[in-house]
Amino acid sequence: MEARAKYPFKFYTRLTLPQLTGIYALNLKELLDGIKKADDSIIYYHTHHYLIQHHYIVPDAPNDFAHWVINTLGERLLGEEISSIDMFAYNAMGDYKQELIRRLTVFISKDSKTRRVEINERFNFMKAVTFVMSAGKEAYTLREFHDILKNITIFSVYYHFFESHFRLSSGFDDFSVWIRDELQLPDLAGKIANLDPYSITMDKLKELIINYTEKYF
Amino acid sequence: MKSIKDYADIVGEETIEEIEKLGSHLKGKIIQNINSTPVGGGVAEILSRMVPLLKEVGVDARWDFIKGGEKFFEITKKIHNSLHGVEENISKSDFGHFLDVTDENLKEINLLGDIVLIHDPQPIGLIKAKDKNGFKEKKFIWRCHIDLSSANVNTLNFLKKFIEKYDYSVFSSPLFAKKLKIPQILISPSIDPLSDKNRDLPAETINEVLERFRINPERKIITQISRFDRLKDPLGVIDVYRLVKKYVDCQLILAGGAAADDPEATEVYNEVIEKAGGDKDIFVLNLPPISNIEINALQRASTVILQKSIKEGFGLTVSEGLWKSKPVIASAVGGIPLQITHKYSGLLSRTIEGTALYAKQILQNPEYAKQLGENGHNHVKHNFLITRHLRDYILLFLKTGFREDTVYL
Repeated sequence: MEARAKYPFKFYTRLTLPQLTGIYALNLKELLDGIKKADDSIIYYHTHHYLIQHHYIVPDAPNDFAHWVINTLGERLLGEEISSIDMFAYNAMGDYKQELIRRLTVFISKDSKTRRVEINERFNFMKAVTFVMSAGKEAYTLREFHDILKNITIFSVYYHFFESHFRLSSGFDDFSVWIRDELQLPDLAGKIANLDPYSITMDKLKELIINYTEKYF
Repeated sequence: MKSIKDYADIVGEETIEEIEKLGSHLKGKIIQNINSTPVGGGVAEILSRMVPLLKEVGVDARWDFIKGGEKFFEITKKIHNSLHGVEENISKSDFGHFLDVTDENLKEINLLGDIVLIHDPQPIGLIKAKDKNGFKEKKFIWRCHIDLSSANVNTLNFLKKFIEKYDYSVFSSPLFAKKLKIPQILISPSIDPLSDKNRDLPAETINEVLERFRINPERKIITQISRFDRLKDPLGVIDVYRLVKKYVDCQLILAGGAAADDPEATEVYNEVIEKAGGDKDIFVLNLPPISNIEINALQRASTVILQKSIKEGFGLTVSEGLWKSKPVIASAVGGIPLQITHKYSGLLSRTIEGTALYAKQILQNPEYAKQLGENGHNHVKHNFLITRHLRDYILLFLKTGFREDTVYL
């Protein structure tokens, strides 16, 4: 007899519209100043929109800061350092931002003569207007959960996996919390919670969760 | 006319369902688009697709246009060019006439939309209506389809008086925007995967087109599709071809239009013919504007597609090539770097020699070419199709009802 949850998993989706802030950087010093002034929504945008836009590759520089530092400024060492900061090790965007500031400050203090780029190569600080909407679907059993997951957009997966991490400030995603607490499947919950979403594509992440759940029918 | 449901095979049922659900949140609102013409030009082309699709997902979208005589449109053409950085002599009396025609339109047009979306500079002055009683609750959005990065300061300052009265502005790329006091939203343009220019074609159609132009389907083909315009650097493309041809046998297609009323295009076309110098492997095709199937077929028959522009707007021909899973080598200008991630979804080049080097690599490594093409196709599928564009517009309209940056629907 398949376990049935008391409270269903309600699927939501999250969509965004990018917005310019009018702030931009032409060199590393200005990038650092911009990051210091940026609120969480700006930092969040530049560290996450890449994941939604690039479905086909494992993002090698999964944030705009690292991408610009490597590809426009040509500072590969610093770019690699920024890329490798483990985002999921931080429960709040502010903490991640402080680590980013620390690494940039250390680098600039050692080598302040970094490249200044042309205006058309500038780093534009942006933020996203976020829309959260119910997907109108809910699951009581693992099979229902699996079937819905197969037929929702990656924006919904994104909401429950990435957004929840920072929304709940708990380091957990919505899927594993529900599977653990409602379906009493701690092994499956653990497997999903341990996925590293920053080193795989969104499509791959969705596929892996679907594959894991199939083994528990 | 294609239905929204026809796109489900391409982007998935779930994406269409999501757009329909979003559209339902605009129930009861009238969205009024206003531009300067019902036919001709990029804006009319977008609206002719977008308005029916919005209606299909339950959004009450309307489309009106302003009136203006020959003199008005001559002036707005000068304004348009000057925003692109072209030197234009726009007199005080020109600006005066622009304002007079705006006032006439304000008297005649029925601004019935709850959300009024004004496209480009021609109808920009309609924002003056916002000061009137009964109009304060309406939301006005200015959609700029032009790259303002090298805009003439005087022209921009004249328009800024209007722009900054709008509730929101919308640009196609961060590089096209200017610092403004109002929120600036970014919405990229898109291609329609079901249009004649982009839909799948049977092999017979592709072969028939190649046969018509006497192009050999058995040999490798380098193609650039663009107007005969110096900024598209067709002469540089011939140089690229000649550098490649020293090592790899290939043919070159340069296809585009040279409008009869554009003397420079004819001049450039003649220069291209002269530079081609009777080379039987160079096909310079001056196609009429209705040649969408031909362009589609030529792109699909190509081994590699170039877009060697010196200056570019968004450069959607790149997405058109990528959509056909072709490896594309394009200049890193305008909106092209948004469409190509170097070495993943295509190749970005800056010189004739660099473009030739990449073309040789692609022509001699079919697996590499295939991977670039597949990645490019997927990138366009998720970011530059009309369904994404439709979703972004609906989100924009929804945003006008909320002050917050996070909106719970």
